[in-house]
Amino acid sequence: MRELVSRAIERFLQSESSYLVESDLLPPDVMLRTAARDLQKPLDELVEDLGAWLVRQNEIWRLLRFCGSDFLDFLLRLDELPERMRLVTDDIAFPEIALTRGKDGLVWVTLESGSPRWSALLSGLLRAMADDYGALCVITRGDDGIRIDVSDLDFAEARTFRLSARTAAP
Amino acid sequence: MTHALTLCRDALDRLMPMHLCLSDDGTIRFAGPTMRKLIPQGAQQAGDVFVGTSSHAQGCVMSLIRAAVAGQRLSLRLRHHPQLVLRGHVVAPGFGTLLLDLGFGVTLSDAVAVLGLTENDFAPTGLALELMFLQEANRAIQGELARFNRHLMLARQDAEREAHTDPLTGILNRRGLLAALRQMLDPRDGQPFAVVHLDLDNFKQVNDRLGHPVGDQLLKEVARILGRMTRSHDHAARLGGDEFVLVLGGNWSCQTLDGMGMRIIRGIEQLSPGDCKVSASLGIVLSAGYGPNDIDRLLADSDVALYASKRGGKGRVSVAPQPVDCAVRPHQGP
Repeated sequence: MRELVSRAIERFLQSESSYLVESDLLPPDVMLRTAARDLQKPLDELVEDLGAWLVRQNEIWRLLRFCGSDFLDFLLRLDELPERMRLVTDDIAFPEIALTRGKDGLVWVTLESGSPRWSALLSGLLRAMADDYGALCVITRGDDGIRIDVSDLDFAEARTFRLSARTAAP
Repeated sequence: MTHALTLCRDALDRLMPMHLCLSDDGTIRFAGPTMRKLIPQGAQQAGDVFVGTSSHAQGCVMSLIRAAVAGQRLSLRLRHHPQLVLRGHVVAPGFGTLLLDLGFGVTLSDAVAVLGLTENDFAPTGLALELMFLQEANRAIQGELARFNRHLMLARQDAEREAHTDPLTGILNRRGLLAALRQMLDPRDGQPFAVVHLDLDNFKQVNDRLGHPVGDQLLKEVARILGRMTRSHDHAARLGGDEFVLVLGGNWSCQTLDGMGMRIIRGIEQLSPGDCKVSASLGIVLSAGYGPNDIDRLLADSDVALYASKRGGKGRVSVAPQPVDCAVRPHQGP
């Protein structure tokens, strides 16, 4: 599984910037750190791009769309995500996700271990998923979590998702 | 205090979207929203929707359903989508009715594809979506692993080929030759063969007088000549310097080998650059009498035969005598 993660990151870096990656499958953080330095981009920004790139990979996109019928549903069930990951593999230590919903409708997402990388990855992923569901929202990443302010769930048409991968896309 | 509970159809629809209510005689009374998608237009009876799952139970859907009231698991095939088998259970709540609740079981993903079902077709208590999620996740990982394995296998093949190849000439190196000999001496392979050990004569002069690039070019051309001598199961190798080995499958006779050796020598002499008078000395050994653990002895014996040629005045072929413990074979060509 680790090799697959490294390979995904390798492919992301290649697609992002035609960045030349050593193909010897270095650990993910080493690859990302080196690439961020070479591309003169803040590491967290690169990791956010990785989160958005993941959503553009068809298989991963489909798995994510299984997790919610619209963006709010997806958001409010985000705390299921680590458990879903563990259904699939024990090999990735995914931090627990906690959700709080304020009276003002704001959703706060906090990660258990407070890892800034996971937080960056998740905010990139959330931005891309909001786009995918056609929701309009403001996503702000702070030191203590991610703040999501959903202003319009049906701002644009959601990308069509069918439960069966075998049904032809429109 | 009564323990009975009355549910309106709306509540039944939400709790069990795949329920089906039948009269005792099998007439369909009502069905949940997902079940309604499975009932063909105009169907009146349970038998219009289902068939039994095994051939001996055909035509008696109602007796299967009635029998399951006692508590057995019920298994029914859809008449119009025979690949879909539903499983469930049935209760008799009275009023001359039977209430069935069914699910797709292992045919779930087929059902979702065939019927175009959505998340709303399943009760939230069911694990249908989780099952489909897992199935897709597994497929994605398996596909990725298969690609990854293929990538590794190709890389390994490349590395192996490189480790067995002489970079200058592109024919086998010593390691490649040893691997080929190991394989050919394997008793399961069992084919006889000849080992032709070849050393160039006067090659040092080419390097000294005309320079190493000319020497390298000559080595490449010798390799090309030897490569042309080999058929699909033969091997040509360069052991380093100006020393080459041919492994030729077949039951060779001394005369044939002698003639072939002389052809190689003439071919090499024609390549000789300038007036260096390059030629070759050959020592040949037949594989009869050598086992899988005798590779070193085989190569040493071919080396002895090669030096007999060198001592005999170069530009000639020597065939090593057969080991004494080996039965005398008739000399035949391949």
